[in-house]
Amino acid sequence: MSTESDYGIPVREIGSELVEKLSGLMAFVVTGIFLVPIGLLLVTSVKSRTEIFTNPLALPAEFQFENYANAWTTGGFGQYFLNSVIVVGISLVFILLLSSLAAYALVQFDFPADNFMLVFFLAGFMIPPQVLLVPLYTIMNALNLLNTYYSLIFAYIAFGLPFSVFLLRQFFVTIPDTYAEAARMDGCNELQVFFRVYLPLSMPALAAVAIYQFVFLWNEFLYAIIFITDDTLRTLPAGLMAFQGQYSGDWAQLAAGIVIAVTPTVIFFLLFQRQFMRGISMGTTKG
Amino acid sequence: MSTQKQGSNLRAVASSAVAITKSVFEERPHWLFLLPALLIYLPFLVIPALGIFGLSVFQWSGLGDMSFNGIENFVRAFTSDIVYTSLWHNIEIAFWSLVLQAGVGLVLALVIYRFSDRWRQFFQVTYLLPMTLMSVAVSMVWGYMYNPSYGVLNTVIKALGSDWSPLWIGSESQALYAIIIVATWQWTGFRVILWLAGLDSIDESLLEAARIDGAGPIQRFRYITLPLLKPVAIFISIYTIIGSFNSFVYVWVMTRGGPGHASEVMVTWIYKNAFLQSNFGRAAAISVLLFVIVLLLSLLNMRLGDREAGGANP
Repeated sequence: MSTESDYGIPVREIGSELVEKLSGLMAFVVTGIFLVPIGLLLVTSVKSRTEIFTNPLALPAEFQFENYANAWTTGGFGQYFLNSVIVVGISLVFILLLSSLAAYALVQFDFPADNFMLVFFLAGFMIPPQVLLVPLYTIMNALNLLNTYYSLIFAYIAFGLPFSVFLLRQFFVTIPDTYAEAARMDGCNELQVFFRVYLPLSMPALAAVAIYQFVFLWNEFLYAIIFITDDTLRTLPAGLMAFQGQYSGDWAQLAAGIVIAVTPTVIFFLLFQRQFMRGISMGTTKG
Repeated sequence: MSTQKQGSNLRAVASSAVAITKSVFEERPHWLFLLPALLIYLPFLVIPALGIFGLSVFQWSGLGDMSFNGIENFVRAFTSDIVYTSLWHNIEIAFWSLVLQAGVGLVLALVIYRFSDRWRQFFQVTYLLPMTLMSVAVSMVWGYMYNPSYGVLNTVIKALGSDWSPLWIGSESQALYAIIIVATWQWTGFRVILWLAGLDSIDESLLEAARIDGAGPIQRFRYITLPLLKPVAIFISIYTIIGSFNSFVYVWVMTRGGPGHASEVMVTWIYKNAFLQSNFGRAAAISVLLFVIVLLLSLLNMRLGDREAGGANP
């Protein structure tokens, strides 16, 4: 550690080396606290059902990988996984497309309502999904969409728009107008400018939006348990809940199911940490 | 009128509709770009947001006809103690989240900030890992750890030779705190990363200048770092509070608001009113309260945020 790194942080002066060492140690202890439940989950997922009750802390005598096979087939997690992929995949594509189109309108066109439209989209940011549970259920019911993928897809797109429009607009503003003008001189219409100039230049911002939304949508629980009651259409979070209700006590298979359910977001996060962090700091410090 | 005539009329209407649409988009091309988003945004976010106020003045079971009943839902909802119990639990969660997630988060951020880049990267990844897991899964893993007979926590307590055997989520006095622990586990790391983003945004030359002027580390922290962190602090605090008012998953998966109503929160109470008691009007009335609270907090955030920005760029 260089002496340059203690900008404005009083630890070094108040306390000696000891305080510094202890605070460093604390950071590692906290890492341990974060990792232990995850480790426990992994161990539990390869134990046998009886070992879980007789030997809660021990490693399994024999790794029971069939827990995963059972969870995937008889436990229904294969179907839940497929449902999640369909619902989240379609939602993501539309969130990216619709929000970048809208952001393009807000940045590239001067029209009387353009400030209003920006505020109109941003206002959605202030409305949490929990608050709209009852009226949205009512609308889905009236439109006959309950127990279909569409109920979740429409809700997810709607709630994904405010943040995505905001982030993409922030990014589009930084693209020099001369690019669009040059393309128009070459005979591109507005849609072509959007698809050929703006979208390719916006890949980093689109990736940040996609990663952030992916984690949020993959993990969404409240609408997933309420809009879908047909077991063959359930997404993973709702499937976990249904599994626990049906096989309470089968912790080994449940743990395997949980690992299956959380693996995609963990892998995504580990692969795209940098974009993930960028999404966070774009959404917060510059908001 | 002959069918042929009717057909040609229809065709004329259709072709003029196409022409009108075309001219609208030619003259106002921005609508072409805004329309797809609005087609989803209006029916599935804006209308429900307005509809919540409408639903709150009707009696409706979720099926069949609705009947107007004025402020009856509000009277019924707010003469029952449970709504205040739930609200109080949300306030308790907000308080402890501020202390544990935001407060401890700041301390951890200050510690991690001093590590080398490589270690910092390590901490950022391990600290953010919990927030990438679905809350249902996290609740189930913790529910398993809290199990009084074979859960890890009580097994460890016993192994240490203590005969204390808490019931955790099964106990009226402990359930809410057990839930707060789980929320802390999942979200503290995220707050740390937000604080780090705030620390990174501080212009190092300011601190360097203060150092040259003879300011010690405590003075630099007190007079430069802290004031510059204020916008981030406002953001983190208010979003921590908003998140606390929206709590649902941990409670629903681990306790369903129980035992009794010992861990009931507003969203679980809304859920129960609508989907277990088939009283959508009353559920909407309680949602209105939640909506107002969250809206006021968001407006407060914008207001304070603006003032900060105004102060920073005179």
